[in-house]
Amino acid sequence: MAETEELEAIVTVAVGDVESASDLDELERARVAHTGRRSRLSEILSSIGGLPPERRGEVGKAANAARIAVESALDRRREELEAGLLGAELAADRSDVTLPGDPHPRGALHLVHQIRAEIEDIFLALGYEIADGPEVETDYHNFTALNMPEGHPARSLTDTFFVDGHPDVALRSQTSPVQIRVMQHRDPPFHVIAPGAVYRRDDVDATHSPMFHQLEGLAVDRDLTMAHLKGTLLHLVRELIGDHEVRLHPDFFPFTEPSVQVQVRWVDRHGTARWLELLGAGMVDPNVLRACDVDPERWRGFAFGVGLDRIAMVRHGVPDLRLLFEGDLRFLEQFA
Amino acid sequence: MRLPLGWLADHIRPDLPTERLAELIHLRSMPVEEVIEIGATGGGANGDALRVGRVVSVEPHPNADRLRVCQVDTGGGPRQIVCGAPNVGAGQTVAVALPGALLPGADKPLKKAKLRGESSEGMILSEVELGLGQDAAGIMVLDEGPSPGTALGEVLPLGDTVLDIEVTSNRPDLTSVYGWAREIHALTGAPLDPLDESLPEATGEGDVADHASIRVEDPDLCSRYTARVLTDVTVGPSPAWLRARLEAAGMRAISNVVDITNYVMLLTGQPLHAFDLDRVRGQEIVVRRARAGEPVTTLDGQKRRLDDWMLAICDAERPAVIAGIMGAEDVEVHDGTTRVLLEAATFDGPTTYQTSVSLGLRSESSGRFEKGLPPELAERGSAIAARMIVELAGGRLVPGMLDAASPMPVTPSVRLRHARQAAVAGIAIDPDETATTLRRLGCEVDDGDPDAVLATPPFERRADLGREEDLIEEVVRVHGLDAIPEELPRIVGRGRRTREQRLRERLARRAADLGLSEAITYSMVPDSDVERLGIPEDDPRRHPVRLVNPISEEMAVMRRSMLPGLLRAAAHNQARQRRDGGLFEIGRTYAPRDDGQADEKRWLAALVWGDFHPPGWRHEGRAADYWVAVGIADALAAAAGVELRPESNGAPYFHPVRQTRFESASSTVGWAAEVHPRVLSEFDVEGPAAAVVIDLAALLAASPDTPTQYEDLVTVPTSRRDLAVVVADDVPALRLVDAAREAGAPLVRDVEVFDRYVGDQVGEGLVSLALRLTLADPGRTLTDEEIAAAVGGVVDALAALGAELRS
Repeated sequence: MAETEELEAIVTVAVGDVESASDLDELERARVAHTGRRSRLSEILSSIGGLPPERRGEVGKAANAARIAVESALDRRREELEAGLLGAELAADRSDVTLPGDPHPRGALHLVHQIRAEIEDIFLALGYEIADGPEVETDYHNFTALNMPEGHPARSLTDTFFVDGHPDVALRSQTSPVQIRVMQHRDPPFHVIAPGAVYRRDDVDATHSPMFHQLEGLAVDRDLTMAHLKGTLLHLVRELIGDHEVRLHPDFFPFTEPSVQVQVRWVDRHGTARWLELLGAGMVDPNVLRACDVDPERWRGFAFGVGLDRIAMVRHGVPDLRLLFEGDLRFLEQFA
Repeated sequence: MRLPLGWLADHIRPDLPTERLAELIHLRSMPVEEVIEIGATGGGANGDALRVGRVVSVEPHPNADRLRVCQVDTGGGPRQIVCGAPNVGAGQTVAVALPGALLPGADKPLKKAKLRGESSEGMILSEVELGLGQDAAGIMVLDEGPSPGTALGEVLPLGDTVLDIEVTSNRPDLTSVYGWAREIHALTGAPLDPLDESLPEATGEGDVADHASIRVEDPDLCSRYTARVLTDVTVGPSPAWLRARLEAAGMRAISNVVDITNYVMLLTGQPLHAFDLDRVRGQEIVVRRARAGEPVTTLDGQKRRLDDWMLAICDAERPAVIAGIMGAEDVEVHDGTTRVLLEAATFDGPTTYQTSVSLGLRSESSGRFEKGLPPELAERGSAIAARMIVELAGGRLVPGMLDAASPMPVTPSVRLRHARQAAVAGIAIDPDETATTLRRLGCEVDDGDPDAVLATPPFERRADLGREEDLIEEVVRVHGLDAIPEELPRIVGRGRRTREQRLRERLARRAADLGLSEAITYSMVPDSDVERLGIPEDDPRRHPVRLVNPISEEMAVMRRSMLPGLLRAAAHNQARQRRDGGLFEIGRTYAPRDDGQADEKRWLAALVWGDFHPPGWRHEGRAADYWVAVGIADALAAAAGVELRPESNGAPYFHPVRQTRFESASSTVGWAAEVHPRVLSEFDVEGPAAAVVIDLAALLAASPDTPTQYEDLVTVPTSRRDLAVVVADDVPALRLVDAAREAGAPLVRDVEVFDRYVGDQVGEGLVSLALRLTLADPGRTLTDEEIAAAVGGVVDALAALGAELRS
């Protein structure tokens, strides 16, 4: 029984030394002292073979348990000491965590691009597709086919840019000629939108630009009514600028009849409320359908146009149209 | 159009508050821009304090030369009023404001006052003080009729509410008070009083043909010209009510005859012109195109030269009026005029518009003619104006009217099918309502057929009510657009961007992710851009689409290159302390075609300047040089699944040896380069600056449009071997890469240059390049022998180019 009691005492002393070791060196010394070859524990372990057979089992068991107890105390303490060391090492890496991260160049899509893409997505989701047409356009497509006969004020040199040497070619003054190109080259039904640059002979100032952006919409199908036009326009307005009070009033465009204008009750960031004209629209004039060989008794449609630059200005509080065309990074980066 | 509601009430009196009426007009007819209150309010304290007075006596003021002390009977005995007007006189009937009156523009009611010691119980008013006109020279002298004490509002149009309405170009009938009366009749159903178009008794001598003759030489520009003659006319100021109405409608009062022509224009929509017939040379009116350069001194005192396409109203010798726009000083009615020729004509709309824009001369008259007026209207205007000149200017109408008219247009009847109306509007409107609306709008309606109505529009609406759709619009808008339900159509459509559109969006987003901001610059550029780029004279890009009417030299032609716009934007930014930056633009260039249109090519162009990769506290910035540009080009092309291969290039606007062209199998996809310093200085850009230009159609063509197929490089190990070689510095790295790829294929899947060294350790004329080979074979593991053989093959191929393995 003497060995068993001694072993218990050895474990108590060894674990005490291990746990009180304050660094790895001290721990190593404790390891050598308590489990090293010359330690009392090793002696007892190696003496087991010389014990009488009836005692070997009892002492061997107790000695092994003592060894495991001491070794696990050593492991535990080593982990503790090592973790403390790493922490101290990491803490020594102290630096100013408020310094900025590595800079990545930051680019922005143009605000007009963003609004165009947003409206495109709204209409793509409804099943429309996106059409395109030339900017240097014939006066037939830009005017005549759109029910704007010769002599119409918009056809004059004062309103529209014409190409030198070609009195029948102009910079398109609206995206509407894309309607004509779509209808002439394909068979109904049509559900298209056509965004793009348009040109009018205005001098550059805060609210005018000789180049600006429109998005045109055209739907021609069997049973379209003004209710569909209204539903579509109000859907667009709500998706684009949210749930504002909206009203329709009659308007006039040569290529739609009846024609309407959509007004939105807009409250700007200064809290000023006013009615804004946002969209011109109407049922496609039968003359326009006929010009494209579409039978107005069989097909009916609606069309609408929206100024992208204007939406940008209203929705984002941009005060001056010129900002859209200067490429000023201080402007562009605000909308990244 | 400024519509005075007091004037409107001559013809219709809808029982609606102003706000309701304005809203109704806005939502069912034309946008009402503003509701304006003018003049003094008639009610409240003013009802009693603004009165008719009679001047009983006028005495000099004891203490002031320019003031008079008047006794004025304002009902219930005389009051003392001090007056400064030079024209005040005993016996006059005048407008008086008593203490308590609130005059227009004043913020406090009038009080009793002492003027230089004399008490004054009110004011004798001029028309300016009542907001009735512009004449501030003296007090207003009224007609003698009303007795002193009468409320002024019964005698004068004191105040009025004016609706400022935007009228669309298809509705010239709504540029008139009576047109609005009819429109409001249709909107409200309130009874509409007929317009009195009767002629006065013609008491003038002889026949109109004895006094004057007219000749229309260009009936294509003047479908009708009528003239009446009035004699014994006395020109003088108009009565106050007339002046007030002109003022309310936004016009100035001038003299009775001129005021009457303007008044009748505002009432009917028909512009009129009054000539002093004694100043019309030859007593003859000739309507003809002007001769090129013919001068006219218009009423505003400006001498103007006419073009040969403009229409002039001439006498026997010279142009007297620019048709429909403005008259000339020397034939105009003046104070001494007694014989008036009254013109009511129908001039061509587009010509009037072009002329007024070309001369920079817009008038109330031209604004009406340019919308296109019906010739019948001329007669109406002429009759009413003649009657008013007789009544208000003492004229005598000479019997007969000179009338040179093309045949009157017929007004076709239009069928409106109720079913079609419902199909277009999405709501069915009751046939009775349809018929009623059309009648109220002035149409003659036959509603005998249960399926349709047959409507004949009034001549005023002939031009815009010629078709079934036009009638549908009228019926629907009068019914109210708010009644139309909201519905989204069911569409079976593609609902997806095309491949090209997707690529464009992807590239834009990639460019933004690379740190470039998107610019939109004008497609109209100065002609000098191509010259400043150094593009040689025989280059097709020297020939742009040229505008015949640009707004300035800076926007004279359509661009042939994307670079100048971005260079200008860079200069703009640099001038505002943005030393570093990057912009891109997706836009078109325009190459002229024989038919006048253009080959419009789309590009993505980018320009970076200064330190493109921004410096931070841990890293230096990286100057925007050739390799920055190539890196951007590579990244953009990779978004399209295209690998770019640089080729030598010689564009004059790029750095002579730091530029490259990227070729695909079929065409040039793009360029990357440092911009030539000479070009930078032309555009005031400080270098370094580098550009990337990508031809979007070519990139799309080079972009694979089959789905990428999976290769098993995932479950097998990938081997890497790095080789350092020394080679002559005139051997392009790409040649080594190509040779290594070719020799190592198929096991060598990628070859990359990852380091480069020039210096003492490799010797003069030599360069050390480090190549990293990536080896793998889908689906299996390579053996060491295979790898060694492949690398050996690469080493041999490099050696053939003179590249020796560095020990």
